[in-house]
Amino acid sequence: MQAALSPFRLLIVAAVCSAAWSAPHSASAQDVGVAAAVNTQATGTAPGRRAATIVLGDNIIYRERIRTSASGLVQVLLNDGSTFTVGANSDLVIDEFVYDPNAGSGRLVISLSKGVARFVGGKLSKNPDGVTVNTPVGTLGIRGGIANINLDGNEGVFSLLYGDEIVFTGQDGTRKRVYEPGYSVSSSNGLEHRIRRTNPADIGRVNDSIAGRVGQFGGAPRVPNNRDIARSLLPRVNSDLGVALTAPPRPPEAVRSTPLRNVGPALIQPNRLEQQRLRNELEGPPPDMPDYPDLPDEPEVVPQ
Amino acid sequence: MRVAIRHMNQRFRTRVGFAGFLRGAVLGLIACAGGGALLNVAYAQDGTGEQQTLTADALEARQAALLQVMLENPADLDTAFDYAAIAAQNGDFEAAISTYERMLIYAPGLARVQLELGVLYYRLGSFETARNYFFSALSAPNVPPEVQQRVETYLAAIDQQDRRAQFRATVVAGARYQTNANAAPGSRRVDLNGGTFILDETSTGRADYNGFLAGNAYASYDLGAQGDLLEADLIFYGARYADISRLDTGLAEFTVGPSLNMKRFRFDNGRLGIYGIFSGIRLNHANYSGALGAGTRLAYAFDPLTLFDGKLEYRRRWYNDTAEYPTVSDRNGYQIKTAITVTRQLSGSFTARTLLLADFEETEKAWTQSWEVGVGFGGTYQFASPIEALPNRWSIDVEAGYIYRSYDGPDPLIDPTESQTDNEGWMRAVLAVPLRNDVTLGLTGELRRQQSNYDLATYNNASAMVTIAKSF
Repeated sequence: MQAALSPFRLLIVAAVCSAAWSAPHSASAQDVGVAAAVNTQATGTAPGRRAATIVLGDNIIYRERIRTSASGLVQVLLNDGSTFTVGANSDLVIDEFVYDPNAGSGRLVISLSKGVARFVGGKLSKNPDGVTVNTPVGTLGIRGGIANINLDGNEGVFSLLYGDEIVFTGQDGTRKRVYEPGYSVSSSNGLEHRIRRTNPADIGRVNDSIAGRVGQFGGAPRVPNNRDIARSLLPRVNSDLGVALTAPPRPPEAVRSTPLRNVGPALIQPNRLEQQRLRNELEGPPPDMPDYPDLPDEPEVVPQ
Repeated sequence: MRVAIRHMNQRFRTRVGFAGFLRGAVLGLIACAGGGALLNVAYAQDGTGEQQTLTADALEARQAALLQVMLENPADLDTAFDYAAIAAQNGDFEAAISTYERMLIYAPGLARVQLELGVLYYRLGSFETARNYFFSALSAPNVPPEVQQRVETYLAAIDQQDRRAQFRATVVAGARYQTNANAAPGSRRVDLNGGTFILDETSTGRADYNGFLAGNAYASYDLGAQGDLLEADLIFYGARYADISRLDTGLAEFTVGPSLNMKRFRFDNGRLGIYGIFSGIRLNHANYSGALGAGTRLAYAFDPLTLFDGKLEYRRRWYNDTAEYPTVSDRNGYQIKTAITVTRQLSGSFTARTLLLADFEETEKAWTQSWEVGVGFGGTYQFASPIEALPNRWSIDVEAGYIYRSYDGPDPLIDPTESQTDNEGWMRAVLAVPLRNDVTLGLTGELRRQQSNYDLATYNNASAMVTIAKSF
């Protein structure tokens, strides 16, 4: 599943690895993103260091392990614009992050050993094999869009909310591909993997997990309120537009009859009809059928 | 493509502190770099609140710049709001979603955030997630009335669009005047087998009116296999002529079959239909023809603005001889037809299209068996309604096309040495005036001319039509 890295990318990865082991935990080349929202308790463990509480604005570095408590939550905003929001009781490591902002190319590999998460793709996810998530029940490749990851012991549910595909490869090598948003692949005990419709419970569990709880503020020094949202620009280019202007495109119709505007020339063909009628007139009436004398009925054969 | 942005001055004011300084510096650099000549204006005009326009490139550059500022200070709400709004205008709804989901961490249960998230997911077609956010918004305490109203509207829309079975239909009633309703030669004098023949007065083209009722019904059923559908489409058409009753027509065509989501082949935004075709035509109040066939159609969006639609159809046709049309069974045989349409949205108000078509019709007589190729060009322009009482946008559609047709053998009655060849052209314009969301008035004008080396096949026809269409 993992694509071979070009020498250039390998060089970047090597440089990032090297920096991660040598530099202090501060804004530097090994930063892969930032903790954009944090509900306590969440801890980060940089390679070779002790676990430290993560606070909003902390840089997240390569191979840092992030753990959340029963009330913890972290949204990691990665440098390519992707976000990875993990809910309570989660355990996450960013194994690899290579990103060329000029080309929009690179690769992200994350290990989520437990918990619930939502990945919202940035530039990297647009590339084939751009994003990989390792879990205890299998590996998930995400191309484009938004995916839910829901781990519960030996069971996992992986949902494509939007985008091109998620490809799940189970520990037993089974490969399942979800290419239609609204579908999930579920895995039980590492053996049973199946694709099914995403149900409201799948969505509800993740949505509940990645939203804050009453009394928590994600570490924000200033908390938005309804008035802030109403005065911001997004509603004007979003909900204010109304249902008609925000409706998603319908799938194209692939089974269609002749368009009504073409029924004349395509189906009736009036010119051919008239030409044939005129030809008949010019040719004259067809010759009469010869009159055959009525033949007597065959005598009925009566069995002896 | 240009996207209109309403300038929000109060949120672009200079901010105190490093984040504000950095944000201002980055935005200033964008403006100086040229991608943002318009941005420069937008940020310089403090307090005007006037409409600004930004190119897609400028929007993208601005979004990238705001991302950098946000990485420096993710808790800066104003930057986050700007970023989400610019991303949404740039069509990057994912970026707006991740930002607003962060707002929901900062402010759990905030109904307006849940409304915006619901709408963003709705726009992506992620109905279940949208529904969850909308329900959450309604369950929040003290939901603002306008939020509640919007949420209920969106929930109703989702309920309609998220059904496994979809149905929609249009019924059209109209009247048409044609200068040559029977598509007959305009002149009584025709060349016939080297001589000149004078047609009967009633055999030339005649003007006539007709009234008609037509409709189209489409239904689909989600097969639950990642986007595969069972689709069915029905058209019907019935026309009565004021004078030439032999042209009175009734027809129906029904197509049904599965359509496959081509994403399974990594052919994103494509759908392949495979269907059966059933049709029957009555003419002059008698059975005229019937057809059974099969077809396949590929609909594929190259990008959000460009759609390919290609079909290949086979029909076996049977014609029924009647007193008025005693030899139409000569046309019994099969027909193979292909048509390709490429549609491209060139601006927010103009869509252009190109048509390519080809057709082969097998018949029992060589002089009625033919093949044809054609090309057409068209476009639809939408514009604001000039009548205040009719607020929906009007549109005008123009199409022109040409068909070359060649027959397989000479008709011994008309010219024993030369087969028939036709050059057919048409021009059509349609003005569509939406009277309501579900009712449209249509005015159509069409010119059709066919030139042929067989005089009997040469004709001109001009028509004017008024229709009223109701959609369901």
